[in-house]
Amino acid sequence: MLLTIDFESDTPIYIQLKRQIVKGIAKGELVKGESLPSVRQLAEDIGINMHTVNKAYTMLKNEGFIIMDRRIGAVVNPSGFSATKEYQETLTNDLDFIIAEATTRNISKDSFINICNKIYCDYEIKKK
Amino acid sequence: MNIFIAIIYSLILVIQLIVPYVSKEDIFFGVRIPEEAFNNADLSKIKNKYYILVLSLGIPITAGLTYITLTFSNPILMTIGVLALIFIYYGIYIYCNKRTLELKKSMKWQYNNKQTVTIDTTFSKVKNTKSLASPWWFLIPLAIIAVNVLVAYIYYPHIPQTMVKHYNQYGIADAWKQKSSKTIYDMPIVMTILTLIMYVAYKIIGWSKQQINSKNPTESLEKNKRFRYLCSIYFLIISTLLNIMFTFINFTTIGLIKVTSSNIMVFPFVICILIIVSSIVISIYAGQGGSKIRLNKNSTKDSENTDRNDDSYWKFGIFYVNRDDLSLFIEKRFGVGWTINFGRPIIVVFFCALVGIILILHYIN
Repeated sequence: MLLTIDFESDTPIYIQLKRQIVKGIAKGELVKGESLPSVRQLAEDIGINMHTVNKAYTMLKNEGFIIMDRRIGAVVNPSGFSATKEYQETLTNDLDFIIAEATTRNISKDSFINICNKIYCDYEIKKK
Repeated sequence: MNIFIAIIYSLILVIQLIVPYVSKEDIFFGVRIPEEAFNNADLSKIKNKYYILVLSLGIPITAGLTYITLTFSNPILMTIGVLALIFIYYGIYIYCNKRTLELKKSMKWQYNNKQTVTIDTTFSKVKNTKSLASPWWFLIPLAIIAVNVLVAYIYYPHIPQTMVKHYNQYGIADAWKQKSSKTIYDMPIVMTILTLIMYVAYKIIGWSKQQINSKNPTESLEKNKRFRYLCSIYFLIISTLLNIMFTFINFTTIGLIKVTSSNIMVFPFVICILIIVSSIVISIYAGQGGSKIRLNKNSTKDSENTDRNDDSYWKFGIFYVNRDDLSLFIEKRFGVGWTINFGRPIIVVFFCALVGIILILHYIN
């Protein structure tokens, strides 16, 4: 899978890393059980500090996306991903803010759902 | 003899001339240039100046060095001459590097596209296995060494008591050593160390940092993989050719092959020229990092991204110094191949050790 990091972006690099890995899983570019580069290897390839990669990997681990196998290293969680209660809360909160801003800018419910549909479709296509 | 030496110095001149051509598309004399500036007139002027300088300084120096090498048998003079050659060629490059940096600064070329770094997560898995030619091929140069050891052992009674230790550039012996159960293995030892060095160079290809072009990462990745594979084959071939060359010299020294002194340098020179010419051919075909390789498949669409502006790490456009970069080996900006990250102390130690080995090798003989 190809990972792209924007060094000038306002988004911190560890967040960019985390998002792209989650996106990769969603698109099917990273499959369950697939191994990811080691912390050192990824830091070396991108040219960033190991702490940054570590931070991203730790977040991904805590959220259940990857597991750290002692022999292989970082691996995409082979047992798949569930929507924990915690996650559903976070999802609702995040959407709350996004929808709040959308309504203030007069984005209709239908427009918003259209956008959501398109994004879901994109992921479904890519997964095939 | 004259013609071989002239050819080798001329080939070095040819290598300097192709440097701008084989460099990556967005690197001009070690400086990263944004796409919209590729056809800039002032940039072309610097390029033309480079060619003029290389030719106007290189041709007389090549002629002068050829003359010195043929007239004097003085290795110190030759070393000074070669060093002068290196300084002049690098000097021209550094001058162009400075001019390009000044131009980039004065034109304030903006990077309109997003500056990014793109990597492939599977690269580190694949690179150690299939992306290089199989290491088992190194058995061939090793077998050649074994043959030398065997022959030295079996042929021992027939080896002359006083063996030639060194031939000068005319093929005339100018140093001797006594035959002993130790000295007959001098050449195989040299060959072993050389093969080891080539093996390490081969491994370095695999260890080097992945560098993919953000503009078209899928294509860039494929080209880079092919480039690494090609270079690994090249190192295997050089290793084998060098060992064949040393076998010839060894067999001549122990008297197994009898060659007149005027012919003795022909074979080694031919091999040297072969090695240099094949490096030129590969460089022109592949380009640095594989940038000139043509892929047959439909090319993927270019992205909006471009690579990071990391000129500040490249001193003189030649030396990469970046303490924050964990990687040890990185693609050169000057020419084809890899260089070391001088910002990492351990690799500077490694580099000095390598030079040290070569010096020791020289003084053993």
